[in-house]
Amino acid sequence: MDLVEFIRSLIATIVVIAWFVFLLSWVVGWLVKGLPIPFLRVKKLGSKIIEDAIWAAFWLAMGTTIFAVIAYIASSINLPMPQPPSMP
Amino acid sequence: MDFLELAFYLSVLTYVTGVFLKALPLPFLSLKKLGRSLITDGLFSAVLVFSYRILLATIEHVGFILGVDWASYTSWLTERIGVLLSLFVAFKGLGVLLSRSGLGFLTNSFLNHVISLITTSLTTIATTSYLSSIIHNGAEFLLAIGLVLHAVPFRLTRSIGSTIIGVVIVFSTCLPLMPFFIESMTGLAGYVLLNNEDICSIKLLVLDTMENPVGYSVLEGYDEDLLYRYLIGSDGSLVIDLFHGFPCREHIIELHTPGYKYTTSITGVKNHESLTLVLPNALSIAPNRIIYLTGEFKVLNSSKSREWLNITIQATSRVELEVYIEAGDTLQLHINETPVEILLINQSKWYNVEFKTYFLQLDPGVYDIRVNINWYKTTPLQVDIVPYAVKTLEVDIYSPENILFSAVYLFIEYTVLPIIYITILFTASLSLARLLGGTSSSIARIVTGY
Repeated sequence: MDLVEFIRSLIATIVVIAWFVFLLSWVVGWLVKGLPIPFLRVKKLGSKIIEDAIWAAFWLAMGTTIFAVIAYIASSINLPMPQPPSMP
Repeated sequence: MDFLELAFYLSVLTYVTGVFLKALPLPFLSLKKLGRSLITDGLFSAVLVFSYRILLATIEHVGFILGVDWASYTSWLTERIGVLLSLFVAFKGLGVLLSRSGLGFLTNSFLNHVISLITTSLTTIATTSYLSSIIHNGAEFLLAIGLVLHAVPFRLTRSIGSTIIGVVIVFSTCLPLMPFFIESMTGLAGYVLLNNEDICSIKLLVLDTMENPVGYSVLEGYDEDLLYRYLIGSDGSLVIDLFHGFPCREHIIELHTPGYKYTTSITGVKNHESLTLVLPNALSIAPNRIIYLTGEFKVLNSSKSREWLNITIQATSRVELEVYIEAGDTLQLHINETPVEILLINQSKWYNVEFKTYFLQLDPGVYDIRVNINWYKTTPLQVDIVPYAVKTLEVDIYSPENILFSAVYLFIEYTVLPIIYITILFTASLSLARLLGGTSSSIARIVTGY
């Protein structure tokens, strides 16, 4: 298998796993937050997990867009440079 | 395999791995931090990958601003290697000579040390030449490899990747400026060994009667014994720089062409002067293809191309025509537009090139001579070049301290200064690599504030 192909399949696998992990975190987060235990730290931990999961999902969803934007910006500023100023 | 594509997918892999770690429902701060840094690394590597063309353009642009010229740098290196090699050979020869004349102690104690200094200089310059040709020819490839290594997840090869990128950028733009660095540094020393009053740099041009250049001849200079020997190039010109040297004082010069030797005395030259030697009876068609006319005659008309020569002469006495060509060539002669059988009189070897000599006699009269030579390639002469600068160095073997001074000077110029310059460039490369994420602080961190 080609190295690039291998890495692409690895990326695809990790993305799928990451979505599942996001769902899991979401569930675990709400589970921890909703536990009928009156400890504030546990509630906070739950919120933190949910927050992280949402951010991760956001960046996961944005991934393609971000790389497209980088490619666009980098290729649009790759214009021929002006001639350097000449010494008097 | 496209390295840039690979680097891009590696940076995507770094990014998604970071996101994956961030999404894990585990309450460990270090894990979250790692995820965050992986996301940033992935993005930064992707920016670098897409900036590949920009990086190359920047190298070219900055090089242009700094006045980088790889061709002149390469010729500078080659010339230095040539000078050092001839010095090496000269000192080795001197050593053998001393051993034979019973002065072996000088060779053992002293000359070997000088030779080892020269060898070190030679090694340094050769290494520099090798290194710069790798950097110059492989800049694009090395940059792509650097980007791939930079994009590997978990910063496994990030520092070496950014070091390669930094080295390529800095060395491509600044390495060809080494001659300027060395010249300005040695200029500060105020001691220029090979530039004493007797050594001049000149430009020499050898022309035939029709003022066409005569390619491949050998120039020798004598006062009592041989001062120098140089090979004139295939275009009939030779630039003798200060490192090879030409005597400024009066001396005898001998110009050897196939079958002939021209001797003249030169009254003294100034530095950077141009000398033109005109061979009175020679007509050159191409390098190593030459015609000599002897007798009393007047040239009425002439023209030539790569393979033929047309000349109209008015002979007032008997004129002898000699043609020298390489052994693989064929010759046709037409006089007044009728083919003429010409006599092959000699076949000889001159500086390791086989020559054929043809001969013809012409009675007084007007002749339209057309010489056709079929040739494919020119064999370069194998001449042992004797630079005048080397000759001046071995003038007095009983004052060896001069030789030591020269050797130390060469050592500083061709070993110490190049190493210092390369060290400076390498330090700059490492700083640039650090900026690109090599070790601690990186552009990505500065920008994102992580």
